[in-house]
Amino acid sequence: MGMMDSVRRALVAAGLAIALGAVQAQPARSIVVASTTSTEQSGLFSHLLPAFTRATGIEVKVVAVGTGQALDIGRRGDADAVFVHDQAAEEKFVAEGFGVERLPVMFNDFVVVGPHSDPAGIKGSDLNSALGKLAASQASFVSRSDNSGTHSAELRYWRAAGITAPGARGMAYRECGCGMGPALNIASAAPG
Amino acid sequence: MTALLVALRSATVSFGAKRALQGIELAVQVGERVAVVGANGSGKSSLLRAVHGLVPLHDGRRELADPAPRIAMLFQRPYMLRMSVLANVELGLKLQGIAHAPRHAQALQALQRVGLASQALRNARVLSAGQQQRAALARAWAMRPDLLLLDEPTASLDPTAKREVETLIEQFAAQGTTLLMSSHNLGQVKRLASRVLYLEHGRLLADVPTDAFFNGPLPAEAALFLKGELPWA
Amino acid sequence: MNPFVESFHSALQLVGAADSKLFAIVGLSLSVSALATLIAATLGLLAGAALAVRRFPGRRGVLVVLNTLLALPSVVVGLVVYLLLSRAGPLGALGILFTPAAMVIAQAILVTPIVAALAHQTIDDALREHGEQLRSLGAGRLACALIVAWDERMVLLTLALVAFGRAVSEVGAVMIVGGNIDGVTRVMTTAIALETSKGDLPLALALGMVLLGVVLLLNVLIAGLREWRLRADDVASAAA
Repeated sequence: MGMMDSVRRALVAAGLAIALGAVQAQPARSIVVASTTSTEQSGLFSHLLPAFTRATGIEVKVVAVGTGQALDIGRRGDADAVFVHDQAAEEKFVAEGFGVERLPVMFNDFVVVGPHSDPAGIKGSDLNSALGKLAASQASFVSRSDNSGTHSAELRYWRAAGITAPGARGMAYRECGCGMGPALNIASAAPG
Repeated sequence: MTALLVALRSATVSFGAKRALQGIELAVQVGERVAVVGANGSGKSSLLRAVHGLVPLHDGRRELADPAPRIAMLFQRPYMLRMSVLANVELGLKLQGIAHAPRHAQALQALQRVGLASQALRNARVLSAGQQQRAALARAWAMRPDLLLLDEPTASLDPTAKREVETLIEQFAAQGTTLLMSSHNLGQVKRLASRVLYLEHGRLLADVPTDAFFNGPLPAEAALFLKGELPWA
Repeated sequence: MNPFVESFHSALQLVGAADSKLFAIVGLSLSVSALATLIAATLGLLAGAALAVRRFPGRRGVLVVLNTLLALPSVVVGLVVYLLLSRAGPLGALGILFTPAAMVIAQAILVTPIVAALAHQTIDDALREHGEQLRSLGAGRLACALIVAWDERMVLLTLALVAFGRAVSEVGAVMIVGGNIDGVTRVMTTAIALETSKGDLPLALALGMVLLGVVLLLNVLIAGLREWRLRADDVASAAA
């Protein structure tokens, strides 16, 4: 029947188009690097990668997610290199056989950021006593709470300062489950 | 001995629990003009559909002449697609696989026959009800049917359109197309039909020539219907 | 109102500056979603027609599942497709994870139920009303479905626009299967999410306005096309 024929023809054409599109090849030389949002947002990659590509001819595709997710991507073999900043997690990754080699590239300084008025009086103190003063105060503290390298470090330091439940004594412990930028935004918007 | 076109033998049609037709015995001969009358819900539409083959028979048989006759059907409210009148009329021919050029010619000829050639390229939906029904007639006629089934073809039309459509139906019958139509309009039946069937609750209670239906002795229920005293089903 | 006005101005500036990166991102958004919509429209229409035409055991169950898939969260689709296309997964050998192809696949899966469910409803209703007349003209069951589908093409076009809207505005699926890679798989929605996570809310909002502006332009074009076609039909019929 005339009409069904043209329908069939259209379907075959569409099918071919889809098949051809799906067989899209990867560019000849490229690698996938799973990294963190903090690293990408710091601008490090826009500085390093063009030079790398010029020197080696390899295109670098950066997938920027949280540390946890970046390591997971590495475990699945979907990335050729993982570029994160959680030493303990990285060493475990290599020990479990997911990674070939761990190369130290950079380190972070973690700082506690707060308003000028310094309601908990922590300016100038070392981290341990600062955390102690915060926990005893009425101030509010924003935690990223997203299983990121930053978050794991935060939790380690609370434990090291001997504080098991940060919000127990009056400090408002706000867990946002978010990245660096939004966490900073929330902190600057909150009073105290 | 006139040729048999289509027949129903002990035909029963059910929709779920409901019996629309029961034990129908019907034989339609070439050249007849048969009218089916009865109250709403008596099974007139189901009878036409059973003859066409649009509904399956729960029981009984449907017999066709050999070679199988071409059957076309006209409905009370014709379904015109959102395209030109010409394209609508060509639809049946397209479905039969007829090529573009002869299809175009046949459709145009059918439109001329019903007096709608000037409207050929207009969107079919903007036509009046009467014009749409004439277009539907053209669509049916373009397929050169041996048997034309009509399900209350003029029930939704104003008097002028009614007359136009009736005239066309009559002309088709005069050219040799066999008719089987259902109607509420007894005047129309008198004008067009050579034979009248009376249905009540799915049963065929009378099957007589038109003359006999309007003048002669009838079974009680049919007579009541004729007098207009039968309540709406 | 201030952040909105500020963002609106930024949006205009972004477009005016004709930044090639922005154009690339917008272009990728549109092409990924358009291709996904095309695939979904075809598959969805056929599925909807088939469901309207064939009565098979379990058909009602399929319809219930289909309606449920209308509420598929985009991030869930992204996860499922990711797990399928990952090198650790069954289709890993294709190597299309973190490419636009994966994004097209994920979005197509996301919006096909929309087209299928609504196309089925449209076709089913139309068949109930008119199917018989088409069959009396000699149309087989599937032909009836396709004829009424063609007749309801305006409804189906709107349906395709709904599907496109769902695709171009989603971020969950393309983020996971595309990876938001700069220059490769970054689309408008993932760019907006990125700027939001960086805390640059005015820029994020501005990008959102650009996206809406582009889709607005698309719809104006489509509406214009329909007007032009209707007018062409009138001219043809007047000349007849």
